[in-house]
Amino acid sequence: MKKIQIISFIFILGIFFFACDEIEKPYLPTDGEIPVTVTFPELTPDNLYRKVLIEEYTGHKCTNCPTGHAKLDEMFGLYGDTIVAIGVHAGPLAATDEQFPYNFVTPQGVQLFNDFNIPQIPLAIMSRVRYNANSWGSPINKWVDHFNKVDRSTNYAAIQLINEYNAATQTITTFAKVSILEEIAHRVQFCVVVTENGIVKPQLNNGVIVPDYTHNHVLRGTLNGNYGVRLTNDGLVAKGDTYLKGYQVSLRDKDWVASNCSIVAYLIDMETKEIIQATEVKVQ
Amino acid sequence: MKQIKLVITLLFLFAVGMGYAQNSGHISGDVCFNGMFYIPDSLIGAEKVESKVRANSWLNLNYNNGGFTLGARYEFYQAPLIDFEKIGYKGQGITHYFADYKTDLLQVTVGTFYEQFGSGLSFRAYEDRQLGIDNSLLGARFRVNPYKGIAVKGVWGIERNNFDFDYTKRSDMIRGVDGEVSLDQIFEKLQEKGFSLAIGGSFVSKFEKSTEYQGFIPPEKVPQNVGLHAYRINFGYKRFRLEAEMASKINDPNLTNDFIYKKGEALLVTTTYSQKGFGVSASFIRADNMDFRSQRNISATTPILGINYIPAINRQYSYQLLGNYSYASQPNNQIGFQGQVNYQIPKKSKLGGKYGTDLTFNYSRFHTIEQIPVEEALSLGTPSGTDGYTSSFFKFGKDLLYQDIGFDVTKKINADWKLMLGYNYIDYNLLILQGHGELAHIHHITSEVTYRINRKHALRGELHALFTKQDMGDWIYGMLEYSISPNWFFSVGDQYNYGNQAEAMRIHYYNFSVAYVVGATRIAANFGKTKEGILCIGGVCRAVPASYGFGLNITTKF
Repeated sequence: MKKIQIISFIFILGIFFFACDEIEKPYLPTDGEIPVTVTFPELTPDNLYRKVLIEEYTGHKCTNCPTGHAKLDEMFGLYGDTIVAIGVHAGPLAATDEQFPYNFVTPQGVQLFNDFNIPQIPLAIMSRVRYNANSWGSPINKWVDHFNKVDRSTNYAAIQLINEYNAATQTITTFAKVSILEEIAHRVQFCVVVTENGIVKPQLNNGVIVPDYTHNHVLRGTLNGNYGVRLTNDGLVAKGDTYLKGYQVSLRDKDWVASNCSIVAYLIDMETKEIIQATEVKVQ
Repeated sequence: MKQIKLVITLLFLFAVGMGYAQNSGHISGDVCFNGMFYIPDSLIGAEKVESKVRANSWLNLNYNNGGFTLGARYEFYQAPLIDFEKIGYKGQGITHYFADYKTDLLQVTVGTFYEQFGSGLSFRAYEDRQLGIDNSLLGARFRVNPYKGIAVKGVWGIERNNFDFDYTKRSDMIRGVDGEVSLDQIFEKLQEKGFSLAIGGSFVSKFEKSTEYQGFIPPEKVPQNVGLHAYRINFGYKRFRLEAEMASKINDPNLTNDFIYKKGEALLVTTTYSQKGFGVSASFIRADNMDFRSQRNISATTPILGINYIPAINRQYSYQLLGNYSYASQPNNQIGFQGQVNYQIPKKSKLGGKYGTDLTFNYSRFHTIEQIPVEEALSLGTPSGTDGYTSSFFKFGKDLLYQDIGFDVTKKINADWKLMLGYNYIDYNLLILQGHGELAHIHHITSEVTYRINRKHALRGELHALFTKQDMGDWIYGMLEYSISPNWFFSVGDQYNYGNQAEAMRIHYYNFSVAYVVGATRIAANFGKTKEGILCIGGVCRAVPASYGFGLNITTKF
């Protein structure tokens, strides 16, 4: 009888501590995507060339990554705003510890790091065009070669962005217009992310910890999913059509500095994974 | 947590002292040093590493006195073998420490411990030194046997995450309870009639605070408590056995499932029948969204912080060339089966010869499950933040993951000669299982011969060939091992990728090794090249980087 009492006691105790949180629908906030309330200007020649999205995989404990950051700056000097850059902090060298306590890692960054099989950093992927049969990414000394692998002869789409920042509510609002300029055979998705410049945090540089290193183009998060959203029900878009999207994100619970933030938007060919257009506009 | 470690250390010293004072108690343990001197080799991709000499070392120490056991393990992985550094298994310290008290009724453990409920679908805290996995829990465990045939277990703790022992940063913990009733022990008549029957169930709940947006899912919509329940039955009648377990997990949006809210399900059924000279087994598994981790932002490509275990039920091979095409269990998305027949052609028959001939045939096939995206996921363009998909329970999905048709014959010709010949045809989905490439079609031939020269000296040779038009093309492997029992072992082996499309990549991966065994001590040295690939044990895999150099391994038990 005493044994049964012990068991009963343990089970009753267990019931108090073992819990399940069944989440009810809707899972997503209905105010994440908002109606578009702005009018976009006509497309200008500035919108009519294909830009290359450089996803630079990096980490604060990666001793060679500052060389990559310098290379990226050099490429900005060469190619100007033909380049849109995102610094993806992910992998073991982006993990935090006592010396590198700031967490740059985002769930989206981790997913991309895994999905594109990043073996080591620094490594960059140009518009998600494979560098070679075995690797999506290229090492620093091959970034220009890799950049030139992106076929920019056809401009499939134009992306326009209008950003607003409400300092009182600490809310970034971004409106996007996607204009399809050429036939696109495959399903596409439209992804909108936030990046931030000027984050001063430690970085390992050639074996030395630089405590006040300035991190730029840091991927902060996505506004519409790790691979964005479809623009139509089946994901297929038609030449001549335009699509409008609006998103809001609150900075209230974040340490992002709005004046350093940019919205980066890009269109993905979901069959080939290639980024067929990208653009970046500062929040303020 | 440091206090627990300190208390256990003091208890250890006190108990050992008392034990010796009273001339009672027993100390046991083992020590291992596994080191390597790395030589860069750009051709095979063996990179120049920061520290050329690296080693994994550990010491296990246990003290037992009656029902009381204290144990600890010190691990020194400060400059570990590069395989381990790549997976973040780097650091040093007392990583395992416990105090355990056991009576016939009750067992209580405090500190770090390993445990498994059922077949592991709901909970498995284990270690695998080779894979670099240690999912031990730091906390408390109890086991109660209130009545003959009834067993109850409970666990509560925080899961180990490599060498990150700063638990002040952790908000996650695991709680679980498991019960099993062995009816054949309660009703002994069942046993007398040849039956065995046990039923069991478990419930495991993980807690992790939710304070941040996950993609665009707000924190309040991310479940902090995720529960998983499982039920099992083990039935036996004479030579027939059936083991089945099914598990279900509530909404658990996490990185491995693209943050969907669909419930997880798993079913594992294994049946065996055996009699002298004949055995047959069949297994079925379906796992849908069952990757269950202590933290929701852990990638599927690493086994760390896994709470449960979804096994690979295919036949496991230790053949060198097939190692690179091992099936990695897919906890979120797999359905498949495996069947195996073993038959021994009787001794002293025409075909069986003096010692009999062993035949083994096996077939296994695994697919992705059927997944039909829900409307919401289609309109959003992403499954994140939706129920993801629906899936018919027994329907196979369109992607073949792995198929293996294998046959082998083992024959002892006389007291000195033994032969084995085998053939496998394997379909292997490189893209899903290793993240690159396509569906590879592989033919593999295995041959092995053992020759006993005399009572102490023996030779063993292996010759394997792998043919495929995909991936790295054709391979051949040869190995010769000479042993002088019970102390010395010498071997030389070579894997040659002669069919690689790139001529420069037609590389010899050779290996020379020598081992000396005396009592419970083994000292082994080797020199050679290891190709980049994967290492899988029981369906759990990790990447293996290419390496080249000298290795030294010393293990001893006491």
